[in-house]
Amino acid sequence: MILPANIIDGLDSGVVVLDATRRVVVWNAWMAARSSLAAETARGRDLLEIFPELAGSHLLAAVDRALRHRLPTVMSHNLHPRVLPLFSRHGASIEPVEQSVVVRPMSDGGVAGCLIQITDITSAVKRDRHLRDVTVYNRTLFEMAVDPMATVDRGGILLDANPAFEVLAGIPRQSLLGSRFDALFTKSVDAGRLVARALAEGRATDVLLSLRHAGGGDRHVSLSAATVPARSDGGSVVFLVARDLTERIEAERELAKKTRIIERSNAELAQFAYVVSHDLRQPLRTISSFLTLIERRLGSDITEELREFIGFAVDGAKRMDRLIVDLLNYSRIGRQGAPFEELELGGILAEAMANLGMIIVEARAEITVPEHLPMVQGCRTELVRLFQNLIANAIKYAAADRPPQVEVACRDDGDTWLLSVRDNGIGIPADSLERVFGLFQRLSAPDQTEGTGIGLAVCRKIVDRHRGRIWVESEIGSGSTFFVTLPKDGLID
Amino acid sequence: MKIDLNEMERDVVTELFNIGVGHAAAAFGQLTREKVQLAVPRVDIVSYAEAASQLAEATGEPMIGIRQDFEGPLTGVAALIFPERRSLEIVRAAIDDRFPLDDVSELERETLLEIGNIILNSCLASISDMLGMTTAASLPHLVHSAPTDLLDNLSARSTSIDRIVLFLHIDFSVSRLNVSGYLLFILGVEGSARFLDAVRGLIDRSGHG
Repeated sequence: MILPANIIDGLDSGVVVLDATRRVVVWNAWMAARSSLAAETARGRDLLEIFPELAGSHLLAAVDRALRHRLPTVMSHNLHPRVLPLFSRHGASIEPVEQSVVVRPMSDGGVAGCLIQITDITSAVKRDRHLRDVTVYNRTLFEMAVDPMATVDRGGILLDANPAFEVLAGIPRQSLLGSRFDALFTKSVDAGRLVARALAEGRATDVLLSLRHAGGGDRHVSLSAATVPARSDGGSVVFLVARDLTERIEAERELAKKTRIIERSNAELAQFAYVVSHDLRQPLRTISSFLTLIERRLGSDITEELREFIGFAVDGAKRMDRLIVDLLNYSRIGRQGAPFEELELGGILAEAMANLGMIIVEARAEITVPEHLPMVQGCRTELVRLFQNLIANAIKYAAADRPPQVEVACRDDGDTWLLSVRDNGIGIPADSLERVFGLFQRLSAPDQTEGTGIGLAVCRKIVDRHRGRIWVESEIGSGSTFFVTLPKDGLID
Repeated sequence: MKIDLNEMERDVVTELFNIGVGHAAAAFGQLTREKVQLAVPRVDIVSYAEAASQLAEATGEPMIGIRQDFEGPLTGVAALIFPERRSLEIVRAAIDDRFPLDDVSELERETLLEIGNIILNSCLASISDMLGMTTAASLPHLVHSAPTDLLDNLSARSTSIDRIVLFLHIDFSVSRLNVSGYLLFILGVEGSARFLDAVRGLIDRSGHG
């Protein structure tokens, strides 16, 4: 029995009835609209004649099965996308109809036929496709993430884990799933508490825990958890992200250990330098005072030659004392622990030149300093000593035929200030440009210039401590220029 | 009511169903381009009560069944049963879904229905051919159930108490996935007698027994 046409045409699905010879008996309005073929035109024609593309198709096989074996067939979208070439029109746009098709036998008064019923599932297919896109996206994020991630149920059982989590635990995913999350940690109670807190409060962040790696050894991780509520099955799961801090924590521990060793050895060295210099100076004082006493006791009996010998010995002792004092000062740089402060470079240079007062006057030196100088970060006494030494050096190594001229300059060099101290002195040989910054390195014989050969070593140590650089450029006979950089930022030391 | 099959009869019935599922496997392979293997290793004919208790014993987990009613010379219910948990895997293996959704979608349910439809149709066609009569079938339906109520839920339409059940194990394998399930044919007394007669007739005609 076939339903009246007005009912069949009112259905929101396609209805096609074929007779035993596959000719169309019923072609409802839904079909007419989506196939652009009116019922009158379709009726009486073979289905294959209407849709020649159906030759050899599963639909024709299903029709055959219904007609000959009286067996029904379900054709799902997944296995048979777009069984019939149907399109729906919305204004100017034409969209293919995704279909779910059922073919079933029917008989009308003993005459066999079959019914093809087509349902439009376009929106379900689109929803499925969208959901699938989102799933693929999320899954890819999960699988590719560098940080270990896992989900657990309310009971703390692992539901999922990404490859990074497998590596962290040293356990393959298949073994992880279904196991207890808290059992992976050295403090399982704390791990369980993290999950409980996420369930109670929605989230818990940055909890430090140690996870037992299956291959031995603990991994230190920072764990964050968040509840993912209202899944379709009604249960909530807890999503966990770990950050493996093992390397960082171990590096920090190693660094702290090394720092302690360095601090101890520095303290020992300072103590050593103090003791040595103190104890060395005492016998030197004894030598020079008794030599002076001997000279005084001999009075006028002393020969000029002997007086000269005693003079050499006393000078030697005094010189050694100065060496020891300088060495002690060198070892003290950065040890006073004076904090860095914001300093006016102009004030620093003024103080350095004031300290050199008599030397400048006696040498008839001409020193020029820029009018405007920037603020710098540093230790006042050390920076004063730096410039004092550089200017004193410029005067000390003056050429014999001309009075010393010293020019201090400063320019902005991006992240740093570039300072220079240029002189017109004797210059430094090219092969000694680096050597001059070493301890006890002097370019001239001791009788030509005064000094212990520590001045520039002190400069380098001060600049190092201020995270700057020091170097010299020079031309023999024309003079030298010492360059110093000082970082502008306050993150020194 | 108890029906005993002798060894020859059991072999013939087993072969009959293996031919049926063989056709189903071929149909599948053509649809999915995956290598699909289906086999019926064993057939038992048992009473309804016995089938119910066997099912409850064999499967401790929720099952999903695809059921089709049939009528004609033979009237009854045909059903394909899988553990519900694994049924989705069959669908996903069949459509080669590498990024499955967390939940079963409507489209996947429909595909499972089609998979059941293909297997049940093939078996029904095989029986029809053997009997030389047409057995019409209804559209397939999905039935979810705990194992204890499974048989009752599947056979709701059949009211006769004196029913027997053709109890078949079925092994399903598609692209590295192996799932075992059951094929059930619940027949009335009259139908089962007709079925056995046909089986014996087949044996006589082929000159054995």
